[in-house]
Amino acid sequence: MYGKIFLNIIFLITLTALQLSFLNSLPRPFGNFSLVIIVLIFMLGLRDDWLAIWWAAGVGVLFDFFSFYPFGIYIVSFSAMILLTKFLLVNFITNRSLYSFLTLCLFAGFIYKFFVYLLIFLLFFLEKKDFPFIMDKSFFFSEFIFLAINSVGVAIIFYLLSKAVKKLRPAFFR
Amino acid sequence: MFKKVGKQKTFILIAVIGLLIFLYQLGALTSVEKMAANVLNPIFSGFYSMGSNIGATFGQKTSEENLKEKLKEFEVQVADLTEENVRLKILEDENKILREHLNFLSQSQYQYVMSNVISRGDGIDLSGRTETIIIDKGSDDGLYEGLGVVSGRGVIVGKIMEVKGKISKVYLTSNSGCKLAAAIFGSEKTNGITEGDLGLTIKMGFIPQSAEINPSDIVVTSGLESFVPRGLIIGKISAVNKENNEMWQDAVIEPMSEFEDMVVVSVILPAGER
Repeated sequence: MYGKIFLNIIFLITLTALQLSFLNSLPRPFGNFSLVIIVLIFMLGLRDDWLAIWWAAGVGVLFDFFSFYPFGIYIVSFSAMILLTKFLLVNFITNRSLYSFLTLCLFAGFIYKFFVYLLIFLLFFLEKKDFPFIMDKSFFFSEFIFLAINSVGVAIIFYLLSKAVKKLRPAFFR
Repeated sequence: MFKKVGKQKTFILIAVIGLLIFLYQLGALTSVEKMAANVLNPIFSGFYSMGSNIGATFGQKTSEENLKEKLKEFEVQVADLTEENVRLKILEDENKILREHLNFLSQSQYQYVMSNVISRGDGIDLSGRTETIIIDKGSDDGLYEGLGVVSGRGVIVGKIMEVKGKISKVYLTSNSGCKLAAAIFGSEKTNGITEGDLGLTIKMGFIPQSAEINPSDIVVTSGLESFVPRGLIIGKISAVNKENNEMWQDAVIEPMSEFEDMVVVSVILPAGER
């Protein structure tokens, strides 16, 4: 059991390092790729248990340690994202097709960003400071690019995994 | 109607999150945070370095013709700089002798703390903006807000804006939140303030209309700030905006550092603080 916990911690650290350090150092289009969200979605979709949810909380803790926003923003955002995505998966998604994973990824990406911006807005509002983002045309365009790039990432990973995992149904491009 | 998502486990998760936030506010997680930073900073800096090298490799788009053109340009520059270097060396020697005679205190009162870059941009990727970096040194290493950060070539790349125990957030000079007191090199009476513009260039404002500034002029720090010494290169002027009916003129500055290639930076500490 302790071995399993240790292994999970190593995977969490690797995932966080890849997201915070490796992907952020790449040129901008690649930096938009959210490996954390995609890995969590696939874990949720394929394993359908609480491991993905605890991983989300664990990644949130690490993100909060290396963030300069008030502690808790990332834990709450990742946890809310994964819980709401699980709710969507359990109640509305009936199969494990590409469309399902694209829907989950878009939903998760939207929820994650929504919670992060909402919490930061609330904290800055309470502290009577100016909101650090300007929600203009370029802001929304960037968020659209974020969702688009991650959707492409999900599609690629889905097709790679569908060769190995029987649970996935490549219902697209047949 | 809807299937339950595991009510009990959800409550446990919420309770754990609440407890973590509460403990952090009390300061009980500070030692855990520092321990995590001590262990993870080298790993993060390794990953960042790897990604930065890959990014630099793919960024090399210069064609052979461009290279030849640039080579000729640089040869001319080297010749001019060599001549200037010789002249400055002579002046430096004279200066040294004079200072020794007059028992002046050394003006080199600053020390450096070298740091690795472990991340770029904000965790949530603020609309694709990347004008911040996170370095692996913090308040435990004697750093605090307002300190200048330089690259390996002695060019100022930003200022520390926020500090934690083992990490610091640096606003790059292209960040609109990074303001520096600046002067035109060779004309130190021409002062102004630089700030980042759209994450790509730097704008220098509040330059008096009477000041003569030209494209290709070098902009340096003026030393009017407490923690940023004089003479650090900020960039080169690429365009000047001068309207006769305005009180001030402004200039667009091209940074001299390639922010994408930075993996190691140095933080300038005033003397006696290390």
